[in-house]
Amino acid sequence: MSDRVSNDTQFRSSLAGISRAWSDMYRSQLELSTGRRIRKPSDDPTGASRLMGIDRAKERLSRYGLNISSVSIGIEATSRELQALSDLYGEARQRVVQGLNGTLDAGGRRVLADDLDRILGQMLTSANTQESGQYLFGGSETGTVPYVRTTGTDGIERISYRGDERSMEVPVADGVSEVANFPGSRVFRAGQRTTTTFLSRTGALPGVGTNSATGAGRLILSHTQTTFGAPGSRIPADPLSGLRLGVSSATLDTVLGAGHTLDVAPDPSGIGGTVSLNGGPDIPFGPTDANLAVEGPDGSIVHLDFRSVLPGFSGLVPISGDGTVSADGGRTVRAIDFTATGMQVRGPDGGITHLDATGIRRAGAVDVRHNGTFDVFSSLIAIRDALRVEGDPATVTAAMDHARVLLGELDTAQEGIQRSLADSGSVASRLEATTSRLEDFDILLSDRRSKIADVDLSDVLVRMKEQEAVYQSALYVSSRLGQLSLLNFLA
Amino acid sequence: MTFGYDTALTAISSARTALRTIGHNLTNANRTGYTRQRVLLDANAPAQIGPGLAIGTGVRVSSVDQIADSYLTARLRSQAQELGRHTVQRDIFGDLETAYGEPDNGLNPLFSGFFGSIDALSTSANDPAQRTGFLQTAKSLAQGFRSLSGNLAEVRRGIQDGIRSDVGNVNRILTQITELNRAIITGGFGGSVPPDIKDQQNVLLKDLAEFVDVAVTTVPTGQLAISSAGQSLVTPSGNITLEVRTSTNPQAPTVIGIAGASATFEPQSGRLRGLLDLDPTLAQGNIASINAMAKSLIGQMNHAHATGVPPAGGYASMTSARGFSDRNGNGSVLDERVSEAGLPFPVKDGTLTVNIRDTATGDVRRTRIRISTNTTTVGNLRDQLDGIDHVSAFVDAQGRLRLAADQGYTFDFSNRTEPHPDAAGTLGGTRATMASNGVFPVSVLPGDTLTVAVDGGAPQTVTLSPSAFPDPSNVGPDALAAVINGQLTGATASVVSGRLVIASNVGGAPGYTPALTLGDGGTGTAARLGLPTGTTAGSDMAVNLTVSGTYTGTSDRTFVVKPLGDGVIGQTAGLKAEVRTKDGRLVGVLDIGQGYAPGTSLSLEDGLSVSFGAGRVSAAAGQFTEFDGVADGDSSGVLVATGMNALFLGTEAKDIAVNQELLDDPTRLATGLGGGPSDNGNVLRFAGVRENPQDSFDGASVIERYEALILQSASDTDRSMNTVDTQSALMAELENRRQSISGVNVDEELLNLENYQRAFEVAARYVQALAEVNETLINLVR
Repeated sequence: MSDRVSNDTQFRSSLAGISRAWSDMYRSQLELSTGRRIRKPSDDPTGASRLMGIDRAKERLSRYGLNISSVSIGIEATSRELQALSDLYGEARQRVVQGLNGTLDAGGRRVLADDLDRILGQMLTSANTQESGQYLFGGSETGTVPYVRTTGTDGIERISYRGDERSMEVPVADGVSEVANFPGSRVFRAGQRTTTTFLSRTGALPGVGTNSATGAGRLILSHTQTTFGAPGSRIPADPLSGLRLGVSSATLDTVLGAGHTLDVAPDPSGIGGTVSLNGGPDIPFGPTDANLAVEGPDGSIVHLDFRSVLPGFSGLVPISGDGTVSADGGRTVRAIDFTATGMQVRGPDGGITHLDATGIRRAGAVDVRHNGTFDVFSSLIAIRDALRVEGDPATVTAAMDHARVLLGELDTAQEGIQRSLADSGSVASRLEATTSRLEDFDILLSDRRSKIADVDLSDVLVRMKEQEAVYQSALYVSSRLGQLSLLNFLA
Repeated sequence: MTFGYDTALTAISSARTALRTIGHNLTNANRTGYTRQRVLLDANAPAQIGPGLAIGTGVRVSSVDQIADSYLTARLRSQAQELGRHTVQRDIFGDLETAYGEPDNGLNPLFSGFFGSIDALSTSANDPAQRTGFLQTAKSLAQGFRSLSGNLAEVRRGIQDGIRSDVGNVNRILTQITELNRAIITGGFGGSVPPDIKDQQNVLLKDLAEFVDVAVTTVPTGQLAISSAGQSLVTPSGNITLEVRTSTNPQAPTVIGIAGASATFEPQSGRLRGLLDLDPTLAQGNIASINAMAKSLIGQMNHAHATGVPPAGGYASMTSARGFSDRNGNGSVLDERVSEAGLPFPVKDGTLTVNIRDTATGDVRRTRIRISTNTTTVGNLRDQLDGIDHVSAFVDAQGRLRLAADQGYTFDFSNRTEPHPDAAGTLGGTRATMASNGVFPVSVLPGDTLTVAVDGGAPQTVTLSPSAFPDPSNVGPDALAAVINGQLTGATASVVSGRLVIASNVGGAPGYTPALTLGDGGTGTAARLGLPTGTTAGSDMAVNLTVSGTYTGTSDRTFVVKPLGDGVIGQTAGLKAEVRTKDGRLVGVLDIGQGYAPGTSLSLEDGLSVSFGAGRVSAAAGQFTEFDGVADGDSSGVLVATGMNALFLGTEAKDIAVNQELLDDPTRLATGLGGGPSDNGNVLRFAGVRENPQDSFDGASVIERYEALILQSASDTDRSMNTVDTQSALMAELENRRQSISGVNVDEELLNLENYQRAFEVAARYVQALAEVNETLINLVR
């Protein structure tokens, strides 16, 4: 500063002092009235940049919060349904034990079977529960009904799973994901595949190969053609004896496979004789019998035409039956290869069952049990069907034995429900813990944010007091300076 | 006797002059840029009154000086230039910050909303409320971009207006200086320019310095010659006029030119320098950056959306948002190359994947169209699309590509997996099949024959005579198949994945198993063609390989599946199949024999799994199948370029908008990748855009680029505010110094006033004394 001060300098510097003091005060006042230290990024570029980072982190936290609440809602609903399913299982088991204690007659068992049908329906409703428009037990296929029933005359015939095996993982914190759903394939089934059991009088046995069909199934072995000689030879008449097939042979015969033998013996009278199948009862025939049914000891039947039989013929005539097998109720069929120890047949859900066809002797149904692969529904359906079996005591006993095995399957299958129930509980408690941790973190971030973005009230108030003092003194000094002039002293 | 009076007169008149100057100083005390004046007195030359005797003759005003420091004046001018430059920049940076509107009204909260709604959509992709919510936030983001674009354009217009008005001011000042120059000549001051005219010159120069840098030369006449940045602006004879030149290209910077000349004028400092610096910062920096961000967002989101699948599983029809242009003007767009048909996004060499889905069975057939920048024309593209079964394609009058699927089919462009790739049944199909090893071309020699027997019938001899081939030493599978088919009944030769395949015409059925026997004519023909010999059987049950999962690899890959033995899946002990990439890398050896439950998924790599159905496979018959892992449904970029199934229309910040088709029908939103309706695979790809590094942004994502822009603008504003503060302080200090030399101090002037008043009184007293002396003398005489 030089010694010489002009009036203009003095005027301008007072003016600058007053306006600086005023604008400082104005800034403090703005901070106080908005409560924000950074109103635009240039107020504090470093702070603004840190704020953006903190806001991004907070945004991520709130996303996690949303995820947790949407997962929680689903898990809560899942727990509720699992509890209901567990109760329904208890009810069903009680009915089954009651039905198996041997004191009930067919009518009583039927009542219990109908009860099981009703419980099945309730279980199905639970299994198809939706929460916020999403199916709980369908895996990632949350938009399609996971369990579809096929209903027949006897109630629910089959319940098929349309979901997948995927459980969806939802991120709930950095690096932490939580399971959002329990796929039905794991909730309603818990066992491990063991053996496959065939129940039938056809001679079919489980074949070589690894099955992929599950639960209970039924193979239908159908007869298509009887032939003299080996299977597949399609010979309609025996050249030695002159025996022919009766007109009903194609539709009513039940012989399947090779190694069937007709034993023809002539009547001493020279007219007609007797015939037996596989050592079964002798059945008399006459020269006019065109469509005689001959039944073997295992129940296999052939229809024969005796009109061209050589009079007095005596001997053994080998016959065979060709046929087909179907695992999906006849929709698709395969020709039986009677030399195959492992024929593959595809069930209604695409599962494969291997069949040893070498021992097949007659047509009929084969009840297949893939042990260890039952789910809650298929075991209950199979038990219900067993309870409905009527007939001779041997048949009923066999059905009850079957049902006892199936009860074991049901018990194994429902372990999935119990396990999922426990799992959903621990997911819920983990979510709670995560929520409180996220809230803590959010508070920490808010605190940090506030330190950068918000005004420290006491600090600003003190500063503003100071600025006020400066402003006042600037005004005072300016007004005093203006009064002083040499003019005042010049005479 | 008048001798003494003369002297007194000089004192009185110089005192009066001095008083007048003081009066002048006092009255101008508060005028900006006023330089105080001072009267310099000098003694008059002495009068020679005798030899060696001289007496003083009083005082005279030698000059009225301005008290100024010419160095300071120049410093003040250059400081005014700097201050002008920084002040205007500070104001514009402030405007820019307001235009961005952060933190409350900018794009940042809109980005948060947009990506937040993507997250919400990912948890329930098929929820109509979430789908609409997502589209609404997309709409808000698009609006945000458009209004930001408008705000930035407004800031730039402000700069251009500033340049225009400043150039007007400069022209006015130049004219005034020229007028002064003329006045100096017409006033005839003869080289001694009056102080007040000098003052006027200084004020004009200081005003001019606020706008441009100024170099001043004073010519001997007192006139000014001014140049700036090496360009002469004013000469004693006149001045030039500046003009503003803007371009129709919005990115081109605004330029100042010299009227009547082609030369441009580039000031080095001052407000105009500040404005000229910021004009391209806005045009090529901020505005271009925002446009690049919008374009990148449009490109990325549209690419993800166009290669996604809606909940319905595909689209029945689609029209591109943009048309191809007829660049050569021959009236048709069909002959234009796709890569050069006037589209705003680039078309690269790549592949477009078209999936056709049968809505009844859910089965998907994939066709891949190669797009070459050198050869593919719009017509080629249309024909290839039209050639796909169950979809028709045409180009409408506006050059837009239109696609429609047949009833019962839909299409999409995703990289979804083709669930049943073995349509030809070359791996355990129902027909009896034999396949070559696929090593082509081969040579056909004279006498080459094959025998083929179907179902154990008589062998048919197929003669491959060299004359049947244009180049017998270089024969491909297609030519071979044609020749074989001309001689064969009951079986057909075809080409599958580049291999020659011979298969029975009829597939297996219950009770019927086709058989095929291939024999060599005894000449080694089969071995040379890579064909197996022997008998193979078909089946009534096809293996029908199933591929599942979503391919996550980063480049396309073809997988080849081959059995390693002959047998039945799920049954034959030790039966294995190998999976290799087409270039031979082993991906895995799969156990598919005893112990494998048919239909079980076996995972391969990069998200893909395969499962084998029950059935029979044969290595001896050369059975195989191939399937592709597609990394990108459209690696050519043709979908984004044409705006097929676009999420965002437009190409930059000022015209980005959400596709109205989607707003009208949110079910068209492609949220999945071919899974169920709730499949959120594509939503996750949308979410990925948040952090997708972009080469064009040096590896930053769009959002990071935006934040960097905001921080840049914040620190620019902050820095320029600090600079202006510093420069103002410097200016004030210089001004103080100037004032301390040239400013008027009233007290000082008042003292001077007293002083000269006394001098006047003394002179008057002297006159009185002289008068009394004269009186006395006269009285003596009387």
